[in-house]
Amino acid sequence: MTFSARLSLAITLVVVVALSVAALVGGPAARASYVMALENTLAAQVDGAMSAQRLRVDAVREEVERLARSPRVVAAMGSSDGAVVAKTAEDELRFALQTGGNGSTFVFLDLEGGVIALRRGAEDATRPIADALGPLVRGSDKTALLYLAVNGLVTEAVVAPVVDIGVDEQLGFLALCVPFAAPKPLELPDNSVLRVGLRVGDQVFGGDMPDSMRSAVASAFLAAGGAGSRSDIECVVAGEPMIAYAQTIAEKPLAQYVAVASLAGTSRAVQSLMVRLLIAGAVALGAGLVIAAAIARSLSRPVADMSSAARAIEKGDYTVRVPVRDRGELGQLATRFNEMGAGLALRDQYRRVLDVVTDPEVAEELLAGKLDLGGTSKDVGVLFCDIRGFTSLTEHMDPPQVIAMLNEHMTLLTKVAYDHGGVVDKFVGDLIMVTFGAPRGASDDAQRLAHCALAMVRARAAANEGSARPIRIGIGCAFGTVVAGCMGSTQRLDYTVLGARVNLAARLCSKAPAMSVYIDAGVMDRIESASVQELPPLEAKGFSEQIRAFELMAIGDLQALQVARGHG
Amino acid sequence: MCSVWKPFFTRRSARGIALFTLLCGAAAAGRPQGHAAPEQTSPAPATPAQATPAQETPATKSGATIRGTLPIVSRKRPQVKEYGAQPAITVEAPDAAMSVVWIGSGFAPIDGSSVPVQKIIQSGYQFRPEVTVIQSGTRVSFPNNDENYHSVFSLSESQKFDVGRFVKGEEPEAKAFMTPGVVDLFCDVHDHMRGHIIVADTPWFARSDSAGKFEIAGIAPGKHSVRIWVGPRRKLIEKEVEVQEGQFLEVDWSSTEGSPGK
Repeated sequence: MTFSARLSLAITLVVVVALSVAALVGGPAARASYVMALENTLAAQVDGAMSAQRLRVDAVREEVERLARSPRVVAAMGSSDGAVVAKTAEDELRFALQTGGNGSTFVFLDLEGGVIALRRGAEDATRPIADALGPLVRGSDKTALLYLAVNGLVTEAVVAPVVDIGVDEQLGFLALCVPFAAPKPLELPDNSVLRVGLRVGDQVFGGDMPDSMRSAVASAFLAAGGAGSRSDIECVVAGEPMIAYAQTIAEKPLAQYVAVASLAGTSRAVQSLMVRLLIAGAVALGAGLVIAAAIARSLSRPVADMSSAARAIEKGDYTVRVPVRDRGELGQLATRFNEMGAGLALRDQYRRVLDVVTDPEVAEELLAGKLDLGGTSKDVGVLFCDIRGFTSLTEHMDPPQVIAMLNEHMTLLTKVAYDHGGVVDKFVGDLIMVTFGAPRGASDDAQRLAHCALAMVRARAAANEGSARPIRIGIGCAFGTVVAGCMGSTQRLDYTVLGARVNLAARLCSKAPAMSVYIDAGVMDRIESASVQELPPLEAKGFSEQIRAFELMAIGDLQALQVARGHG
Repeated sequence: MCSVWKPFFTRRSARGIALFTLLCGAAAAGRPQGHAAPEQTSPAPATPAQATPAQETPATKSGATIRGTLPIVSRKRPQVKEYGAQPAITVEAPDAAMSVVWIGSGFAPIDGSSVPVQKIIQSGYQFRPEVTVIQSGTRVSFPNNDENYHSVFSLSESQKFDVGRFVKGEEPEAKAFMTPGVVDLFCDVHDHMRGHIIVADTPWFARSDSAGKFEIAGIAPGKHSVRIWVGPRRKLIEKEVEVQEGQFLEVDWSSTEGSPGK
């Protein structure tokens, strides 16, 4: 999976989870707060209606209480003549009856709740109210506010005990009854309508409510059971969710102001919030994906650059560089990468130079840090090869010609030496020194040494054919213990071998006739299938004893020769 | 439920009066009109002493004498409103509770001019006396002795009237009470004021003293109805009594039990 895909997936997950959480938590929370706001509106509306009602009732109550103790009403009650009572009340209650508006009426009841007098001219409408009031007021000695549902209408009755204060005796009750007038429906900002009605018993009245609403709200409150003085319920009216808030205004019989409003607006608001949330989420997701792509691109491009550059370096192209796009981590990485490439190129260059100026095998060992700079004793084969008659050969030649000839000659011999696993130790003038067994030794060092010597002769002979200036070489080989190591000053070191065998090889080389190979006993002892001819013991400078030496004529089984390493 | 106010004269009681009148009418018709009880001769305000002392020899008068005790119901403390008048008015205590008894019925109203005018004075923001008993036909005046307006009205079945408001010195004309019954008096300026006139269609009546004692003399022999008005609760009790010529009858009618008045 690409980095870009992973980043996109992560961002999508984050956005989806955040959206889901917002929807799961925010949706209900938003709805709750909308509902609460609506509830507050309902409660405020009911409070307002109740305040207005209280003001009205307080004024009426005061009037009714005053009249219920006034001498005229007491006198009328004492007369036992309903007509007198009715007439007196009609006069005395004139103002309250006018205030109550159409349908206002009054009722006089005796202590048992029996009717004494009704408003004249309104007996038919008043009698059911009086009959309903009777059982409710019986035994009471306090002013009460009662709401009665009679004939589908609600009557608000302020009932005061009629008391003869002259003897502190209650004579009965006076009730001023006014038809309940619900506040006008209120249009809410979301175009829904808030209706305030009155719940009496198990019915809801007023507020211009359709029958379906009244019955639905009434049954919802009924189902909600006994509630406190303030309660709210949710119900469904004709498929529309509604909320109803009730506040008790009178107990026994229970009367509650009820405010009803639709929750459809709330649902719409929540829905619209959800839609906006979704859109915002989609925008966030889109932006996130774009940013993810940009980030991924800004990450993947340098990575791709470095990847291909690394591949190029793997193939040996140390010149490749990656662009540094910024100063961030990747930019630093690119910088380091480029520095690494430059370092590798430099090392490669050093290696090439080293390979040229020193033997590749030695260079390798040196680079690998395997060479013991202090020098070690080991069995090594040493081959010296020089040109016979070099002075006379070159005395009429230009120096560049000499160098060109030497270079051609040394290149040829170097190749042969490398072909046989030899290490070209150094060139000294027309002489080339090759070692076998240092720095790395092998069991067939002597065998390869012998083959190498003969191969040099053959190669030179072959090169000489058709040459205007044939070069004739002599070769001396020795095998034995020498000191191998890096020698020289602290500033300049050479890996080389030193020892008597080296000198012996040099002596044998100088003794060897043109195009022949002399070997010492050390080589002789170590080679197989060789054809040699023992020479008479030789005197050699620096050697006190006579030296056994052999001329190597031929060596068999070249096929079996294991070339330890192959140079170009 | 004895504390409940009962309508005074209902159709049934009216029928009872008619029956009684039939039974006793003939005997009564022969009696001199306006046979005055002792208190009728003494000027108002009436005092408990108006009841004839028991020491008086009953034999000096014709007819029977009944002496006894009426129920006295202690008055609840009446509620006195704050009238907010400036200067503040001082409402005096109402009279002690008294009851009234009258024996017999069916006498025609007397000629009001032949007897003194009874006065019910409005004084100390009370009707004085609170309870007055008169024979039908007697006139009553309502002088105002206070420094404020008073009014007198009644919505009682037997006598509805309203003399309106008046101040001291604006005494309305004396009013004759012809119909028997209890007339409750109110003042629509002062809600607490209560007065009662018991108009009896008989000359044999008495108002008790505050202990309930009373005495009525000169009662014609025979069987008579007895009505007791228990003030101030306005309970009415009906009884019957039979007396012989010259009899001195000692009765205890202090129980509020008994056949309730109708």
